[in-house]
Amino acid sequence: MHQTAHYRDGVERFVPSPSEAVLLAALVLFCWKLYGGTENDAVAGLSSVVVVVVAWVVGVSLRAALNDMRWWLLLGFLVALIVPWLGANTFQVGVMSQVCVFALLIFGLNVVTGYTGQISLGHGALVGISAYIIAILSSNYGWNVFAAMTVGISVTTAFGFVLGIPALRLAGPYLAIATLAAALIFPPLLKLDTFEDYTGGIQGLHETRLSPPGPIESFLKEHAPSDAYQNDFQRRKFAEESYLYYISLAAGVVGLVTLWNLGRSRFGRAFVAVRDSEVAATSMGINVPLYKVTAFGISALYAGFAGAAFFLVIAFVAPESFDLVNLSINPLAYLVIGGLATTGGPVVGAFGYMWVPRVINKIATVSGDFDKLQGAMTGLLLIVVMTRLPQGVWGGVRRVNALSWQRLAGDSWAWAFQRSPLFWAGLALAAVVVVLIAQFIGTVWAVFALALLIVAPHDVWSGAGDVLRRLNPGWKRNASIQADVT
Amino acid sequence: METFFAQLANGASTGALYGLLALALVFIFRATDVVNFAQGEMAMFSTYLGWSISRPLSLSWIPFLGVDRHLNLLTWRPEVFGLPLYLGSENDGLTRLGYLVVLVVTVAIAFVMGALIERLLIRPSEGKNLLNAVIVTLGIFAFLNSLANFRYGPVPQTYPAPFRGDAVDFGLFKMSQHSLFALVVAAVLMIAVYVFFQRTKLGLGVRAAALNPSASQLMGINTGRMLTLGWALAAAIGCVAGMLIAPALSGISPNLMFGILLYGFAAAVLGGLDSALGAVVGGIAVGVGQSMVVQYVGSQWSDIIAFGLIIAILMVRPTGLFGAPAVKKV
Amino acid sequence: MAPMLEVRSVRAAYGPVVALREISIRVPERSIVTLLGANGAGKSTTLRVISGLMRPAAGAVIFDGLPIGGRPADWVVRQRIAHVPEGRQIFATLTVEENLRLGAYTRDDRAGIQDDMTRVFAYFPRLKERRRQVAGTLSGGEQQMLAMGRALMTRPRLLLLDEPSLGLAPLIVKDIFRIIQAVNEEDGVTILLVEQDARVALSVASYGYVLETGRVAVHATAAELKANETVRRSYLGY
Ligand SMILES: Nc1ncnc2c1ncn2[C@@H]1O[C@H](COP(=O)(O)OP(=O)(O)OP(=O)(O)O)[C@@H](O)[C@H]1O
Ligand SMILES: [Mg+2]
Repeated sequence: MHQTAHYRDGVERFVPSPSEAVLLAALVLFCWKLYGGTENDAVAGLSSVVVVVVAWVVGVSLRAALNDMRWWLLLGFLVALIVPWLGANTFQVGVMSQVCVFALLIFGLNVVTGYTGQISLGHGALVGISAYIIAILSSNYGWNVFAAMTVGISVTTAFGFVLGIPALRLAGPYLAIATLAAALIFPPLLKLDTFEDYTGGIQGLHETRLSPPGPIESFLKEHAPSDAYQNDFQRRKFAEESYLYYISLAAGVVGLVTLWNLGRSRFGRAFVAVRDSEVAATSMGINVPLYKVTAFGISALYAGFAGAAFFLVIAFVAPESFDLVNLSINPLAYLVIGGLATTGGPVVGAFGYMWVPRVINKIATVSGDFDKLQGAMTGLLLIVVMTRLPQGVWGGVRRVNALSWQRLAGDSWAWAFQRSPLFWAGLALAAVVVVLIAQFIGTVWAVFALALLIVAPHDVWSGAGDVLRRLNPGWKRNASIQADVT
Repeated sequence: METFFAQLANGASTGALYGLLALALVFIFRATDVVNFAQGEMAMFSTYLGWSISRPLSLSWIPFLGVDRHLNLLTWRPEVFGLPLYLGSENDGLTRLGYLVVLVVTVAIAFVMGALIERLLIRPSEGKNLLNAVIVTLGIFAFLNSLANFRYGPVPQTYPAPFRGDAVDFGLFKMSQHSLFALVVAAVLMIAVYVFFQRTKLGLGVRAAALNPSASQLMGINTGRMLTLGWALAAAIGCVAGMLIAPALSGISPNLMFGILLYGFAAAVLGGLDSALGAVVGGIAVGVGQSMVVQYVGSQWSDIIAFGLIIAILMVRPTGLFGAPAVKKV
Repeated sequence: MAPMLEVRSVRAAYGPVVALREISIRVPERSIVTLLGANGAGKSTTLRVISGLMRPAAGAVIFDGLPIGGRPADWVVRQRIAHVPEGRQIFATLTVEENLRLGAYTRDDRAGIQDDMTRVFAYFPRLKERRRQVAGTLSGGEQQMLAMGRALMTRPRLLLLDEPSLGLAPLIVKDIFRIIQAVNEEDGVTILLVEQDARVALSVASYGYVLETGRVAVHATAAELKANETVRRSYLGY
């Protein structure tokens, strides 16, 4: 889906659109967070401003060249290039490497679930197969890592085709659960005594991480930000971490570009046709079984690369790394949150997958109250995004992107005035309840109540307002009864 | 042979509990087409609520009653003219009437909780991509799990059970009273669900609303209410399952239900997601299979064989053993 | 005398697509009124607004003095307005009998329901033979009969029929229209009929409205419409 040309002329070209404003704000926040660890807030603020201004100038020129949302991704890429220098410590750089790793997995899921509409909960196992094969070949048999990767990725792709076979017979939830079963079989298989010699059983396999070649290492060490990395040991860590980051970034970018091309290719269109209606696709001459299995195969290729990158970055595999929720369910959830069947959605999703738990953890440790409720906050976030942005974040941004500031203002105005007074009465009542909760029960519970306020369908508030009205017979019902639609 | 039958009985009663959870999944699937990942956690949470109200409840908030009055539902012993109305008791003072009261109150709370979840959280994502609703259930899953950890802590709590006397001897094998009770409850609920869907007007309404919402509205069915009802009943069934599972295992803990939910999924799919009979039969099959594998092959094989079989069976019968064959939509 | 149903300057849209610009219709009690017009003129949308499947953006729908515009469909049915939608919309995996029982969903009078069931089977003997059959396996004509029977089970005072003849053999069309007339005359049900085949529709109706792109282009008694050469040429196409 392509955006039509932007509405910008003259001075408008240099003014951020509403969606771009959101992006810039996010960028500022992100820079600020990254610098949060250093003592000097002035330096942090200034560098954030510099980053944003540079990003904006580059962005405007890119936007002039490209009329759709690709330029956002390009902008993101440019920022990604300097991530090691934005990070306050190597841990954050490591997390960014993992963003790239899981982006690959989510790209694969996007092919099979987003474009082709086949729900797979088994992709965790595919990543695991790839990572384990590479680990076994390189640590037990002393293979060269890259040779091991070739084998690992090929075998995983083959497995992907096998995982696609159930898709030929099963529909919807049945397929979801068949693939879920595949993901559930994988960890116990690794733990079997029979294979323990190879897989290391519950302990798993360790491998030393790849270290950068001499010249690259010395270059990175030399240019490490001096305030964050002071001694030689820290600088070496920085060089190592950054090197792996750039490798994963390269893999991620290649993955993204191929995904984008795939989406627009004949394959991509055939996948979408299969998703929308198998019968119609068949009548258009599309070989539905072939395309379904191929979709699984391609997505397994991505998963195989994800597994390889996983092994490079983390250098440790154990059955617990490939547990169901972490590697099969959550990536799918974040894909949907990012935006199914889009190019940018998976990127947003991968970012959220790695950072949301960490940011929530940060908030939790800062505010004490939330400490044991991190899962609850993550859960609420899933719910809020899914109910208020049904097309995912990317879809939401795309919708806003088509708006100008005037349209946005006009639409919000219209939104507010289409609501019945009952809605506002109910909403006000709910808001009062939230404030009372914050006052007398605790902030945490007020946050939960607030989330509920955002999520609940509007007619609930009209209903609450209606109760108020009945309690006050003096109020008159609107002449034309307008129940609210969400 | 002795052990074989013992394992059979054992597996059947655990399986009946899987089946109950599967029954709840089937309920939601028939009403809304959603596979509910939060089913286990909903059951876990309401089971905890049952645990809370089965503690001695402080009544100090009622004026004029005195500060140290407590209400302990579980040991309630009403008598009429010296005749005990409390249906027998266990040696720790628990009465069956008390248990029944706790059960009914908890199930009622679960019912309301299910209705609220549908109305407030699921409804906004309805009619859009089906995956959205599934992700919302994942969110509910994370939310309830973490809330239970926060409120009750990770340590398992012992859970009351109404029948804890000596195991019943059937000659070939023995079966604990609780297992027998669980089997009976599962059977009764299965029949109730079947009758509800096939024989009552309301059940017909729920089925119609799932099939074709706009046509159902034209028949005067409030489709929204049917969905809410479906979720509420599923939550209630799940709650019963939880209250029976907790005493059968090591008690109630926040992470108790996820593993069981996976077997519940397996059971539901095995039986066919739209079949009440299938859910319970599937559950028993999974339970028996699991205990046989643990006994004769080795416990580390149990998940591998259980889920491997699910895949194999689905490949032969794509909508489970009792599911209606899929209708391809143009 | 006020008509039984009055649609007053109704406007309706599907998102950005405006389907009804301004529609006003009056349906007197016990009459058969027909809505005619080209594809996409807004006939089905008008019925959807009346039965509550769609909310009007402006205007009012009055049934027996009661404003019903914008109320939910399941409430409107209880005011005894039945809608047989375009494309039948039967419950394909339920049996014929279950479909009919769903028609009586709003009612509690067992005896009355039984009576109506007998009456529906009298109108459509085919349905009686196939009462245990799954509705999705019925033929197109039988499905149309089922859709009408199901609507009659609500014991309506006003029946909204959307293209009852669609895709049916001429003989069956004749049958269906005979039954429509019978329902109107014997049971006193008022009927608002949407039909592509203007000739047939005008032969049973007493009054007709011709819609064009969301507006009423012409309205007159059936006799006048039939007699008017220009109307017949430019709107009715025969
Ligand atoms: N679900 C929908 N979404 C968007 N537009 C719609 C929808 N349904 C109808 N329309 C549009 O509304 C207009 C009126 O449609 P309507 O179905 O009322 O026509 P009709 O007179 O019944 O036509 P037909 O004789 O073909 O059934 C048409 O332009 C149609 O394209
Ligand atoms: Mg029409």
